Amino acid sequence: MEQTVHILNELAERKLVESYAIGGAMAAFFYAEAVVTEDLDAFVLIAIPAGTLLTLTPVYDYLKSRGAVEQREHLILAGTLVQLIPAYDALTEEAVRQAVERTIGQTSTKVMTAEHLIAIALKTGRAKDHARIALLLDEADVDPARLTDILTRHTLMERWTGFRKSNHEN
Amino acid sequence: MKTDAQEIAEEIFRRKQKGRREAARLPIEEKLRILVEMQKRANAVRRASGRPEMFVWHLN
Repeated sequence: MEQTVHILNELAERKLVESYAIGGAMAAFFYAEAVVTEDLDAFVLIAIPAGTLLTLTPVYDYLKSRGAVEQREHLILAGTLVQLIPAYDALTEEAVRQAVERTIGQTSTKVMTAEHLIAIALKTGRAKDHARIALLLDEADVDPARLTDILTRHTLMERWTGFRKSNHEN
Repeated sequence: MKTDAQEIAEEIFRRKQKGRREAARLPIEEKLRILVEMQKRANAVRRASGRPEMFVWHLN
């Protein structure tokens, strides 16, 4: 895992991506108890020159040159199953840009904040996303003001109210 | 008025929550070791029920 993030760091150092951040279940590990997951979601920000289309090919090519093996939509990178996801909307872009530094062993990496993880999970809205929200609310030090700010700016307050209501009812 | 059973159950839930919060404070390296163990155990269940196995991480 340490070697995996070391290689992911090389993507930014070589300017193949603008930046990246760990999201999803793996990011929640930094704030809450471990839960079973199969892959590490690495959200990447890629600067696209005007008039060109987004492609992950140079990133994949580099990772394969560093030993990664493709497995369906994933890469096995230094023993970890990695899913590369381009930041796909304003919320995920912000989450990558505002990710915080954490270390695994001796290697630093960027991890989405607990507040952004909650907002993304709320927007995605599957049952497992709602379970992750409940876990983070119970175990992480979530900043309510920061969370409200993110949810408001990304027009998620109505969904949040619905989530809170159904959570209290259950 | 709470029954004995309710009080016992509440105490169990309080302890469980305390345990989860302690687990949340473990170092990331320890959580990764726990993850690999969970992946292995999940695969034992998957094998027994004929479901495809998940990838088990190799920690380095």
